[in-house]
Amino acid sequence: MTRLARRRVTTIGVRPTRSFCGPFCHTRARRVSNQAQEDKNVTVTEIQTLAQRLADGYDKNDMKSVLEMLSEDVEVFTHVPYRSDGKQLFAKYLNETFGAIGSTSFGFRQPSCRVYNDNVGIGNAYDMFVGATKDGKAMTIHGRTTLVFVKQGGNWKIVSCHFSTRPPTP
Amino acid sequence: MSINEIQTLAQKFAEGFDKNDMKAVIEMLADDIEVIDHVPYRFDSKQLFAKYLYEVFAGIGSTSFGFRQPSCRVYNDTVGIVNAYDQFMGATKDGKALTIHGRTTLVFVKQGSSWKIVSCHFSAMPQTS
Repeated sequence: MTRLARRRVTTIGVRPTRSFCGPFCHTRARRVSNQAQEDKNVTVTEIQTLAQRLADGYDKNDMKSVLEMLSEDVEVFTHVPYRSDGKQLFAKYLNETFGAIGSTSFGFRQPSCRVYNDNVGIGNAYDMFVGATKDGKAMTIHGRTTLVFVKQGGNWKIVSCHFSTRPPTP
Repeated sequence: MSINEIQTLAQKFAEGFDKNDMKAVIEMLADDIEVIDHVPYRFDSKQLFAKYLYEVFAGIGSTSFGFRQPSCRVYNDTVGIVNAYDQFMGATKDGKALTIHGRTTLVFVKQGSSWKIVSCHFSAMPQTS
């Protein structure tokens, strides 16, 4: 029988620090219990930690650490009209784009992390990017992010990213 | 085999929007689905997203929806990921035309013997710079 292991931890509220679950965030695990809950929360915590590491990579303009988290076959939708099919293509885009940026600040808001069957993790969050190009042009993007992690040989790798701009309030 | 299943399900999902058959769309969703769509807020359950879908599509008289260049992948036999471009064309019942060129990410998870969608991310195609 297939085990339907599902875990979700949702953090709600203003993020006062760069931590996914900072001291002012409310974190709750849903539909899990007792000993099993502890085990499940460990895995959800892994996904939270990894999502935070990705955010830190952007925050510090450290594309090397971002790229290390990606699977070779990652597919990425981002703020350009075409999909990046493969780590190599996305790496080229990232290095070229962030090579022109002088300062960055990036973080997630209201991230929700879920794990299914012990081998897939999903992170959905709002995101905010604030930065400036090396020639002084300011940039601000309010967006949404979906990350899909899959456990590959004992390691979690990101196999799908979808970054999009937050639509204006109608 | 599993990739074919995911392709078929993705097509079924698209046909639900194409035929304005929200019941068929909603049947494919897990109860704890999370959806990022063409509105500023995230939906954190099937119930919330269903309410939104019924309200939006009730005002639409004709629809055409399809995926372009869909990519379907399966990992560990229990998770399927679809990334595709999408096109929605339609008209509201009061005659206003709607066209949205976008991108879709669907995440399917096998629950028992059924695949259910646990995450959707729809976004508008960015402008070509």
